[in-house]
Amino acid sequence: MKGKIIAICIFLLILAGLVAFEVVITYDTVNKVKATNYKVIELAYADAESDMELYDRLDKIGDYWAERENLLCLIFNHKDMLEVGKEIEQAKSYLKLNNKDEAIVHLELLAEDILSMEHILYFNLPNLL
Amino acid sequence: MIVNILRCVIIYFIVLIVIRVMGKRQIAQMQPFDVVITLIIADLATIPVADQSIPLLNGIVPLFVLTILHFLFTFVSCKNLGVRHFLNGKPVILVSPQGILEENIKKLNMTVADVMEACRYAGFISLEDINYMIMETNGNISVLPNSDASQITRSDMKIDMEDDKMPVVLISHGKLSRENLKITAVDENLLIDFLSDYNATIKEVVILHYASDGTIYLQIKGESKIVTNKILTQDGKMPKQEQIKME
Repeated sequence: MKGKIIAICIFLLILAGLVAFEVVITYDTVNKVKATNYKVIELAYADAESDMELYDRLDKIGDYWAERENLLCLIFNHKDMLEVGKEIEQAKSYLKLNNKDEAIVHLELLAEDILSMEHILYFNLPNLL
Repeated sequence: MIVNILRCVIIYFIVLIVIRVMGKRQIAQMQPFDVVITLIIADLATIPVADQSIPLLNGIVPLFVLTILHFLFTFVSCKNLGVRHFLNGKPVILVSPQGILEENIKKLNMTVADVMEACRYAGFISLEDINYMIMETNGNISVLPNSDASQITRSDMKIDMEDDKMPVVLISHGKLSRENLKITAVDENLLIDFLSDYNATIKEVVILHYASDGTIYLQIKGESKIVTNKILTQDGKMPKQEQIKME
């Protein structure tokens, strides 16, 4: 019985750790990518920065996403993560070619992907049911 | 492919741990909630193995949650009779001294043929020999024969006999159990000397067990069994039997 209780406590600790990890990583990552993406869209529409400056901003968020994607893949389906990275890379490519309009289209798509990811990753009633 | 193999190995060990934590009842006589959990475990374990895009944790976390739930249900059902009845149900009498209880067998979706089958399975030809037949909560059927059909026991015959002694395995597959040697107070040198009488070493022994009345059952590789009686303790006393470690 003692051994069983110890095993159950270990399971509970593992579960608590995983829940904490999930909450921190998910909310932190999604919020950061979302905020940066909106900022870049805003700057692109306002034409406030050059394409290369916008490119640098996206490059940073792309690196951040690539790093966090590995962690998110530990808890979420890999397929749900694919689109975000793809859209960031496509927007970067268009900015490199000085095609801001196409880049904005992909940034908007990225915003949509992040929203749908929020629906999948966050703890809410529809996800629960 | 390597990922699949490794995932399979990990899941195998996790399920093994989970089943061990849940206890032996999980692999033997299952109550309704044991069955539910076992079915879900089997399904959950295969999902991350079959689909690589699903994280391994998606399979492991529910396994841990089910283990905790199972522990809680077992604990509560041990403490509270009402909860136990809710989770496990109650045993149902199928046959009483008055005959088959039709209402009860209908409730269990059973037929008279099933009752007859259970009767024969329990070793009785006729319902006449049965006093009670009970469907237990784990699905087993217990049969209580009437006095005419029940077997005569030693106590019926008033024969006073000593209880059978549980033999302790000292050597199995050429491996000496020092723990059992210590428990029974058997001397290792005396044991080796005993084996040398049969031109054998410990490694050549398939099995050697020792009962507290001094009976030794020995089988050497490639040879027939030997049953003999010898005291192998240094003080010449019979071997002890407390806290036997089963092999």
